[in-house]
Amino acid sequence: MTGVSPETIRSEVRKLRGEVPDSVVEELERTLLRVGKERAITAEALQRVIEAVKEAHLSSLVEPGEAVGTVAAQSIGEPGTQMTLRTFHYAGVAELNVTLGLPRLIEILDTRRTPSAALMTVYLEPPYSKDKDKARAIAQEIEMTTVEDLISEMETDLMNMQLLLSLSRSRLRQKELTPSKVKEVLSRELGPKVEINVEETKLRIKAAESLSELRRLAARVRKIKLKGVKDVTKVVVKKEGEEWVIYTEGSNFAEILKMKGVDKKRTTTNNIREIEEILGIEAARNALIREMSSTLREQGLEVDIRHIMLVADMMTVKGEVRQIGRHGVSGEKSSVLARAAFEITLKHLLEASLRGEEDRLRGVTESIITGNPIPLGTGSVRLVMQGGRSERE
Amino acid sequence: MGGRMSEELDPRGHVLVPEHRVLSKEEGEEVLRRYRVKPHQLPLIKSSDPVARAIGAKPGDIVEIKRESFTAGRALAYRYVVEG
Amino acid sequence: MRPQRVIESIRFSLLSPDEIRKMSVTSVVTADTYDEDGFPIERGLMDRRLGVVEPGLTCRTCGGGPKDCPGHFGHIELARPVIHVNYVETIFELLQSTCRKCGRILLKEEERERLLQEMEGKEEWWKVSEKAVQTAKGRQECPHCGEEQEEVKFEKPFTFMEGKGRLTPSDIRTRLERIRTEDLRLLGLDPSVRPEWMVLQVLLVPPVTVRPSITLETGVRSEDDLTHKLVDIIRINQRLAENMEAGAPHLIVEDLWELLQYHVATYFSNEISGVPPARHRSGRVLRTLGQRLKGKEGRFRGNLSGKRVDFSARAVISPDPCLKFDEVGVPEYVARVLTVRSRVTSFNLEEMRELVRRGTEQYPGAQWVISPDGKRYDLRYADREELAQKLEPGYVVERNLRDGDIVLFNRQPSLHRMSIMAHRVRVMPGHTFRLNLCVCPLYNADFDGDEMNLHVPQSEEAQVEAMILMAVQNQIISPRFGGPIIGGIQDHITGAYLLTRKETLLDREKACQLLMQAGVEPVLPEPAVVREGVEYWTGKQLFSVLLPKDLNLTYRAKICEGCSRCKEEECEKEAYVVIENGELKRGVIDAHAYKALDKCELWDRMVKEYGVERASEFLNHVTRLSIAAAEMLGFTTSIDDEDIPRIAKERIEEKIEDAKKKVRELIEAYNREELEPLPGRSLRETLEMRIMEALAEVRDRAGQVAEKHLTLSNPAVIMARTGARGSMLNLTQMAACVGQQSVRGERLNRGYVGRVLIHFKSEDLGAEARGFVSSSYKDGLKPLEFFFHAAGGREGLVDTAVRTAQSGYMQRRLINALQDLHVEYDGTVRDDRGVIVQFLYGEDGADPMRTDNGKAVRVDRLVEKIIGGGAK
Ligand SMILES: [Mg+2]
Ligand SMILES: [Zn+2]
Ligand SMILES: [Zn+2]
Ligand SMILES: [Zn+2]
Repeated sequence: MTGVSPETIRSEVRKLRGEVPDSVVEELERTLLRVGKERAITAEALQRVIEAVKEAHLSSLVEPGEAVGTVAAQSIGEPGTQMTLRTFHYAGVAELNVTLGLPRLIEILDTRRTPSAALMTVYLEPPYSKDKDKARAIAQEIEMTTVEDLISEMETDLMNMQLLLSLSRSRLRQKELTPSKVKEVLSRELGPKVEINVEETKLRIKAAESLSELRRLAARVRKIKLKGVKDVTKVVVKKEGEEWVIYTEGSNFAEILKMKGVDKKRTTTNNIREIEEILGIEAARNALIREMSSTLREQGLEVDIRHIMLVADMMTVKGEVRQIGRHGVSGEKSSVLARAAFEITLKHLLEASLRGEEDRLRGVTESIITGNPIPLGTGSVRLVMQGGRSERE
Repeated sequence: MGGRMSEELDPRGHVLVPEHRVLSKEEGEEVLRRYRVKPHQLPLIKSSDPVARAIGAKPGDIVEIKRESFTAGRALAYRYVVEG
Repeated sequence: MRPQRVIESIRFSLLSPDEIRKMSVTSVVTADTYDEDGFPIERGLMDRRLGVVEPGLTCRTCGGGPKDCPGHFGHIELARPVIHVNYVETIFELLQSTCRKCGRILLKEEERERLLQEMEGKEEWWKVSEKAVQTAKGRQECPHCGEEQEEVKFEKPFTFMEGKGRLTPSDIRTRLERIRTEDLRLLGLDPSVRPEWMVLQVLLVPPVTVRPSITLETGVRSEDDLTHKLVDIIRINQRLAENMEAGAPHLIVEDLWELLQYHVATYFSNEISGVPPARHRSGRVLRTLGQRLKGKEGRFRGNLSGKRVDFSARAVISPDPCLKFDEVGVPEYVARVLTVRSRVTSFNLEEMRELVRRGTEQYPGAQWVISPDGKRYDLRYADREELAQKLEPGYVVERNLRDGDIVLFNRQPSLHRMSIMAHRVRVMPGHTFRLNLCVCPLYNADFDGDEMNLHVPQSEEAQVEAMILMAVQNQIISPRFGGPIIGGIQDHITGAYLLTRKETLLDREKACQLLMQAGVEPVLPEPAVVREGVEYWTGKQLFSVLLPKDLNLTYRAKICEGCSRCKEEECEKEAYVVIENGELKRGVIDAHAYKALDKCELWDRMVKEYGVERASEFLNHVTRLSIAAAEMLGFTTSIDDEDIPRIAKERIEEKIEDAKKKVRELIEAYNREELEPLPGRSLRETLEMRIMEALAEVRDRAGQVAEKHLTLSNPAVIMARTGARGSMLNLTQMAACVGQQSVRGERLNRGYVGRVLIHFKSEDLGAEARGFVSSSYKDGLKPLEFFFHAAGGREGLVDTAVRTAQSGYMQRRLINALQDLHVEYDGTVRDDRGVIVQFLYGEDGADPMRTDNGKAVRVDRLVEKIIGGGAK
């Protein structure tokens, strides 16, 4: 018995497009072509497989009315009790701190402006990604160096009202800086009124009038950025497969993407707000999904991606990333009662009274409060009758 | 698109950014018809969104997004462009 | 029954003084509540027209008793207007943004037009108002009448100043009256709301039903906090009125006015910053209107979102492996109280008559009979025989709960939908609810005193819904990840392991006994061995009796050690499981076969390919078979399971000594500054990391030594290795070495300066000084080790407590944000406004519960099934 040709398989399987998801069509095609090489697939068997796939797809579909939101919330919330509270070191890169487990999940849902452990994965373009030294050089350029990182000692000379900085030679070398370069940056930052003298590795800064002013100056000088990208406090260069990748502690996505040698297509950050700002709402949605699912996966918790997608979609429907909570999704619900029942009860009721708001009672909380059936699942079914004349009339 | 674009990074092509396309008026109306919704009942995208700006989407447009789906391989989504 | 009406929508607004007077049944003028005889005083706060709470009395407004009178509002005419505290901020904004003379909003006409335009058609128009108010606030001069504006200042809690003079509530009211209706929206107010209503002239008095008084056992009547507050208001209001009438000095009137303002303010909210809270005579802070609504126990979360219900029971739970997993054991004393509404039909007439005759005296009986005209007969007092005779289709009998009824069973905290499921009732003796162990993981229940709730759905519709949507069998697959969440646990696993390992041989009597206990007909296959004329069956054969005959499956068992070269079918550890045509050929049954939340290959396949019915039957049988097997073959564990030979002990001690030495060397290297720092770490951090590494390693090594002596002949090891309960780590901690204790992921380091306890020298960084426990649990910990262990253990407890609180709140927020999302008939996901959130649920429309661990269509399986092998 001869089997059907690969062409027939292809054309028959592709007829499924639009009826079942593309991923299934592609997988079916691949599988059949591979199996077809080993054994003959009859036209009849091919049709049976295709029918079986259609049927399997149909029977996997969600029921209309299904409370998918609640199920998603429970599926993410319930395993929360099993997660760690601790922040551990990054599995691959021991030097970087990463927030994991429950605190990270909460942070994502809160859409905190600055995550407690911001982190970037900086991919490089070919000449740099293949060469360790070139990658290192970029890393050096990225890492933020402040005055504080260089000084071995800082004295406040009360007699002459000046600051005395001693720079560490080894650290200067490590960061590829010279005392005169430091002076240059300092003069630029502090303005022309400040007098700075360099003696070998010692810097003398004279500017203050009073003791308190001197102290303020000292604090300010410590934080002055000498080189690197703002907020990037630590960099680690690591080989990932064939290429060198830079991991950074601290995130400044906008600045990093401007740098030469950085792969602008793959470099990412774990700060969702930055992604939203620079790559847009759809990228933020993707980042939310990635971050949430990797947080859960790292904890060994199996949660279907569909639940995570729904949360991400809900957070991004309004065109901006909204928090799961009173300052976001929950605070913008249409129902007054639902908002009042969640948090800050009085404020919502009082505001509603002034605005003359009307609660249409279409959501879950409102329905429970008023004793109406919940408009989900079996409660979403309505009987509609045709208001025509009866025969007898 | 003014001079601002030149110094700004074009987000298109980044691994996290799916393909966006402004729909024609007819296509947009077809979407609204298909889902029986008013424009505001679609997911939104701000006109200031980096991608919206890059493709020149204006408030009132509908943007089609071709997502690489985690489940279905490919999936289409639409967003209504609003001021912001 | 009264005709039911459905609330379609609720509109929020302010009440005008006229409306208050119109809805009021009486003005309240006397502060006294009851006269000497205990009768409510007319026009007092307990006036009988305001409704009744005490049984026997009737309402003078509607004539109803306490059950049907909803209560009626009254009102108090205030002698002078006062500000409604909750609106002070709004009043302040209004004063700032409107003209002091003409009352117009301080916006130029074109600004007004533009903003109104912007507002047009917006659902959240008040966002534009915020802008309008911000612009208007800054204006010095009225664009309409040219009046110079004076700065309005607000002093908390309720004083307003304009320039130097004070604005009294009366002044404010007249100013607010001047605001024009066409400006209201720009000011953030609905045109139906008049701003002057925020200054009260009339106070609404809630019905007595809202503030019932309670009579203590001593006969003393105790009034509700709201009544107390209203009494204060009326008293001061009266005095103010009298003083005004008598033409008392301005100052006295002002003081009384201020006092009235205070009382009315605290009546609305007793948590105003800058205002001392009103107190009860006993010193207790009064709980007034605002406090009644707020918080977890407030009206909203405590009474409206969560309600108390009838037809429910709560009891301690205990296990019963003989129940089917979809059953619940209900004690008879509970079944005697709970009832189900049963409609009398021509089919059950005689049965119902019998139940009515038995009444409340005998179980099963009935409690109430309801005639078609809605009359209720209490079977405790009625003539039961007569009622039984009268019974005919159309009657309803509230009969006792009995076997087979559908009930909802629930354990808090209800974190997922499997926390409340529909079970079938089994009435039994005893005092606890009984449940099968397979459902414990779903409820997260154990039997150390846990209690659970039970609800009886009353209508047929509710029962059917519960049976179809909530039945335990329909929850086997978790919607969280599309895999089984119900399955075998603990002894189900050990029992199956004991039964299916190769040394288990059973004679006919034992084999039949086991199958009987499993609940299957004891039809035995051909015996595997015949020795000296006696027939023997292997455990595998017995297990196979339960398997579907067309099942083919190969997988690695939990006990597989992951040998570098798997011998597959030849595996002498029986870790390679082969099932051919429903026959367990090789390998043992353990956690990887059917444990809940584990890999459960066999069970997964059963549920997904043979359907819920067949799978449930299998699980009920297999769990009973396993338990019976464990009982028959004998299984116990005791402390000497953790004994290891002396030589092993010595080797462990050696290893620990070596490690301690290594730690000392590291410390010395550190002191000599010869330690190579890890990239990005300080020297000290590096040292700590290296020490922790070394000590963790020695714990593992010690464990390995012990493990050599902890073989599968050891019951504790059987439990750990088959995945039934416990882990090898638990065992080696008992047998060999407990290991490093930690707090916040670091070795213990807090306490005295440079040391944890005074028993060590300062700055001692050695293993013992920083919480390394080298003893085993079996040997017992040394005193200092015990201390360190307690410190580490404490952290674990605190962690759990904090985590529960945090994840609970996270869950509440998630639920609140997502609960209105649902799938529409076109496959889209929408919220309650009809806004599309997803165009196709999950982008492929698949329900995770109907997928195979997330995969909607198992193409490989289908191809293999239809075309045959090579699909993998
Ligand atoms: Mg317990
Ligand atoms: Zn009444
Ligand atoms: Zn004016
Ligand atoms: Zn093996």
